[in-house]
Amino acid sequence: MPLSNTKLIYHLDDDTEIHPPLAAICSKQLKLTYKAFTKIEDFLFAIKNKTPDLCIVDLNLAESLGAGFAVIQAIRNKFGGTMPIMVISRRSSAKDVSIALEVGASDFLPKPIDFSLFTEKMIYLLEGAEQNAFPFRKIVKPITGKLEFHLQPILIDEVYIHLKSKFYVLRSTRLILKHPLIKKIFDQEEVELEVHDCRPMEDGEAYSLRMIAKNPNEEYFDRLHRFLLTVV
Amino acid sequence: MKQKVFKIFLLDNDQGNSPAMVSILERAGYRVKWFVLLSEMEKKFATELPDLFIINPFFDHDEGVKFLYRRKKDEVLARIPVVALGQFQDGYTIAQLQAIGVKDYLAKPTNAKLLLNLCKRILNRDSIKTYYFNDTENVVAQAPLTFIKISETTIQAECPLKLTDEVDGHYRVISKQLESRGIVDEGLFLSRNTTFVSNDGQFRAFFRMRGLREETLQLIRSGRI
Repeated sequence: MPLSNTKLIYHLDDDTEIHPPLAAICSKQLKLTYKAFTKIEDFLFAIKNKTPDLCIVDLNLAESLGAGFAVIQAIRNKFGGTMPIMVISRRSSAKDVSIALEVGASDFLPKPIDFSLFTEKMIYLLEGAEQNAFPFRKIVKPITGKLEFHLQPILIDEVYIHLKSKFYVLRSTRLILKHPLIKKIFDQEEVELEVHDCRPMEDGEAYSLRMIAKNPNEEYFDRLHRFLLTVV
Repeated sequence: MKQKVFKIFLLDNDQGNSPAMVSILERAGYRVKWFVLLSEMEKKFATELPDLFIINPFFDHDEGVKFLYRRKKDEVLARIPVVALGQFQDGYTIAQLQAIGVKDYLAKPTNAKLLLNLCKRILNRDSIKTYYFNDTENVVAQAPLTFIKISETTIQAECPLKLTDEVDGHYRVISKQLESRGIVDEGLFLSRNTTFVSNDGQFRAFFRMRGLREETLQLIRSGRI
């Protein structure tokens, strides 16, 4: 599916072997304008001169290992969250993916690259803007709401409630939780707990959340302790 | 405080040794509650349960021993380890105490190093309890969501979850304010991957709106949403 060739793609990767195949897919198959960079300085200079529609960034760069994280952060600081950033890197451990997402990446693709997946992701990241021809207006008084979703309970220890999530959830997010055992522990229909951390699980398809009270006091730990003494 | 502080209940009416023990344990980071009467300690169980008991079995006409027998019969208290405190001379007494649930014993006057080593050993071994859920009922969670921009086809929200099309349908948007404007959850579909917004630390989610009524479209066009 060709996309508009007016769309500009910037790719930062010191591994020059990867440039030709991606250039071929972008320009021939997707009809995009593709420009590759090996140095951070040149890449950021080019962004400053002309804003691309999508950036592809490697994490380990010639300047230093993991320099890509700072580059993503710099792009986000300058352009906010509008421009899609795809990370393509050999650093594909769960921790690296999490950090990349947290500093602002929109998507992640490990090396060696699966080119058909790369094509799909490019279309996916670019087509949203393509399809939305209507201009966005700022909602004068932001509308609030709740996003309700399900989490699979895993375990409870003396400090945390461990849950499995299909979603990546930002650290320190406060979630209102409802479950019969949570009611038994806290003696309330629902309880507000905070995400202490969110880590990808080994299967790579879900995340493990550790939930704790915002400012856990003696009563919080007492309730968990009493529950565990009763059931374990 | 984001980590558990182990709690110790000390039961002894020894006005010389007990304050010293409380001080040693508190300085080592434990939370200690000292009781001179068994009834006081038992009253406390309604709201608090310790991770460890340190009890003088023979104080005040064997009050500690009475408690040890009661503890043995109590399902919950029996799971909390007990250290006996006193002047134990013979192995027979120690064996008897062990038979009613005493894990270890400490001689008076208390040696600080010995006391701390014993607490550390017992609490590391016995106090990390874990419960694995064996039911299939999910936890229902709610996260905050704020809608900040709108077009005639799409509404943009900020939320702390990274939504992707893979999980489309695994969540529900609840907003009375949105419903009152004619936009309902059933008509919202995630239209593209979320991106991170560093300034306010939230993910952006783009929902395509389907089945909008003419009045809602008019509201959007006139900038009244």
